[in-house]
Amino acid sequence: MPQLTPTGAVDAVERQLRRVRRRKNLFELQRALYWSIAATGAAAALLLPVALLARVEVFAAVAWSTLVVLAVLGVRLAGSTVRGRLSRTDTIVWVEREGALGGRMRTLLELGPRPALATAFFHPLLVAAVRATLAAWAPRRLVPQRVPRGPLMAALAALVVLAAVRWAALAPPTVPDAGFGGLRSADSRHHAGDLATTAENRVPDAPSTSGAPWSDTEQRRSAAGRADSRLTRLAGALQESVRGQVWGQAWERVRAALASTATGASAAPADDAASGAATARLAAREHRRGERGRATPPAGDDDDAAGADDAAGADGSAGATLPGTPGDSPRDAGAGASGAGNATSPGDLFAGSGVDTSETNASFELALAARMRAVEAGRRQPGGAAPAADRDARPALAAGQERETAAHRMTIPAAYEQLVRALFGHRREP
Amino acid sequence: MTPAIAAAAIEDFRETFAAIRAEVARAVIGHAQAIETILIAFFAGGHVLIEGVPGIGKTLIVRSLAEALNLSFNRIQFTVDLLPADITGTRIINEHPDGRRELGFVPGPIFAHLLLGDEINRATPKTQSALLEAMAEQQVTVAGSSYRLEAPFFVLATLNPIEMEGTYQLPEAQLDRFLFKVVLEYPSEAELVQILATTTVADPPAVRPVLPADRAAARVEELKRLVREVLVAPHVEHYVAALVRATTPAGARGEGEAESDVRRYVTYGASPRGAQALVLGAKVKALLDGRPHVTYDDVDAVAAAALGHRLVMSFAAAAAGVAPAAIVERALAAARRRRT
Repeated sequence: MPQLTPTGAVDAVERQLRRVRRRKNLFELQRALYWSIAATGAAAALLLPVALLARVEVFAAVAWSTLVVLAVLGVRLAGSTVRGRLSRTDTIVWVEREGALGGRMRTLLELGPRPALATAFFHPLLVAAVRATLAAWAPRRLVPQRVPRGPLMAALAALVVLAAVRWAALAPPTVPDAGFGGLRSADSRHHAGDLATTAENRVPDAPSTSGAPWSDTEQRRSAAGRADSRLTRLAGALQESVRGQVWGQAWERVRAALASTATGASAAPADDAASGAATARLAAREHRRGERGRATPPAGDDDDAAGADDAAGADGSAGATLPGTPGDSPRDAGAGASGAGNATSPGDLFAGSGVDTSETNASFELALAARMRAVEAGRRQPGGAAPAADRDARPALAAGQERETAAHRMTIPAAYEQLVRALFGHRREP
Repeated sequence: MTPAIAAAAIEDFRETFAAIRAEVARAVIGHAQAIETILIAFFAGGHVLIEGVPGIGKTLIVRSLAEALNLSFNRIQFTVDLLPADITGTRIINEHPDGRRELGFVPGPIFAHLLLGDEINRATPKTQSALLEAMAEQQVTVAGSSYRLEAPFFVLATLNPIEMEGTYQLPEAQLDRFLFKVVLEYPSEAELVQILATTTVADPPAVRPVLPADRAAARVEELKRLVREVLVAPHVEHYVAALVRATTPAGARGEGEAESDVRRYVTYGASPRGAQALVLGAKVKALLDGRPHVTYDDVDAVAAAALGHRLVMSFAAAAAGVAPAAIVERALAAARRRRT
């Protein structure tokens, strides 16, 4: 083997040093990359089912917790990578330590720029000693693995799990029947329960089809929503995006159905109660109007407003001037008393609905001018059985008694429109 | 120069060193570490201050060393009435046979390869200072004339730590000229038994010369030159500089315990001469280990002997009982943490 000159030996040492540095830095870079993939994949595998199935609050908590964990891991990984990365000086020190070279190589390389080194007595011996130890710190020996297997396996495992979760999540959710105009079944409500919850949470942000004020539940949610941070809204948007990307158009249909379901469910109970009370009141009003109609001939269509005022005055109540009555609204004042009716056109009986319901499936506003009759007047004792009412000496007068509080303008879902008009419509006596 | 020649030179140095150490060990029971430290200082070209109680073998070590090296040896017993001329020599009037008279120089006992200054702290500072020029520049000046001391020149001075009355503290300038300070510990019981068995017989073990008499001095100088050839990398030089700076109050700027102790207990730290002593001693250690270059461990091995006697401790240190060796140890620990 040809004898290396000291200069040639130093060059060989420096070349090997560069190879070691390149291999080590590449290894550290791969390690950081694979760990990043593994961590991100695991986080995605965790977040995907949560985003698809859980409520937005749960998803927000999990998402932001995962993000924090990922950030911490990222910082630690970056620090570890920076520490593991070798500069030229660091490479010399690292090789000295890992190869147990006893400072030979470092001394040789550091003394290289000094011109006196070439004539130093021990320089050839040092060169020979370093050259003899080249095999002890070969790149493959100091960095045995070209690829960090542990991080690579972790990254692959995370990706496999993520793919499995993604595949399992491809099946779209069950769409509630009510969303498509049919009857709402218990099964469909159960299947879409969580989704409906999350959809309802987003409903306030979605455009309302009725224009009606929110129900108590929605108001509570609105209050809670104000307390929600921007992080929760961001998480909700992310969750929506995930669902849209995973489920595509199927999710759009589900979302629309859930939104309409949530709106209808909040209005239905109030409608039922209102319709019951209104039916009884309608019967009394029909009775009174029948009697008045027989005593006074109809005034015609142009006198609808005057007839309404007269009717209110004849009832002996302050309904036309009491606050809260339908006649207080500007629209009602100029267009005849709402609910007064003109006894000629049942379709215009209630002065028209708040919205045009002929073309849309939306709810309308029913302006009720009729007064609710009090069933029992006076205060009750706080305990015990209710005392029996005295015998009414003038039943006819009591039948005409108007309730103190007028029924407010109510929001009636469109589905109930025909029923309400049938019940409350004033028809001319045959 | 080929690697083989350099390797042979190192091996020759190691063999010579080991032979001298073995010969001295025949006469001196125990004190193996002290003997090695003295030999390291000898081949590094420095002087050694030996501290130990009376009768512990200080003089025996020096005498045995001189016999093993086959070099000239003189001993000066320092007393309070000793004069500088008693050490360096003096000029006297010589009368020639023809009646002509002239002043002639009579060399003092300092003119030897090995000089033992026994109980050096008993002499006055003026007499002690007579050694300064000889130790630093290997020459003496008498009446305006300088006289060169023959190389190698090696001074071993002893201190008696238990007799403070009638003694004079060595000035810092003189202390700084000693490469190492060696403290001789009291021998163990086993060593004491061996001492009794070997020194109270009719024929005590004699030290045989290792080097030939006619070229012993040249051989020693050759070995000392070899020591100077040992390579020291910049990172070791930086480490030595940091270590020496760490022993000075100005250099101990950190917030660690070591730095705090240095600022509190040290008035003056080690000098640049102390750094030189570290490197020279480390070079000998490297050769003894068969290496042509110095490592951190070589520096650490000689740090206590090279730096301890150079620290001027404060009154707070005396009150707290903090020894210089403890400060050096803490400075070493701090420097180790910072080294790359």
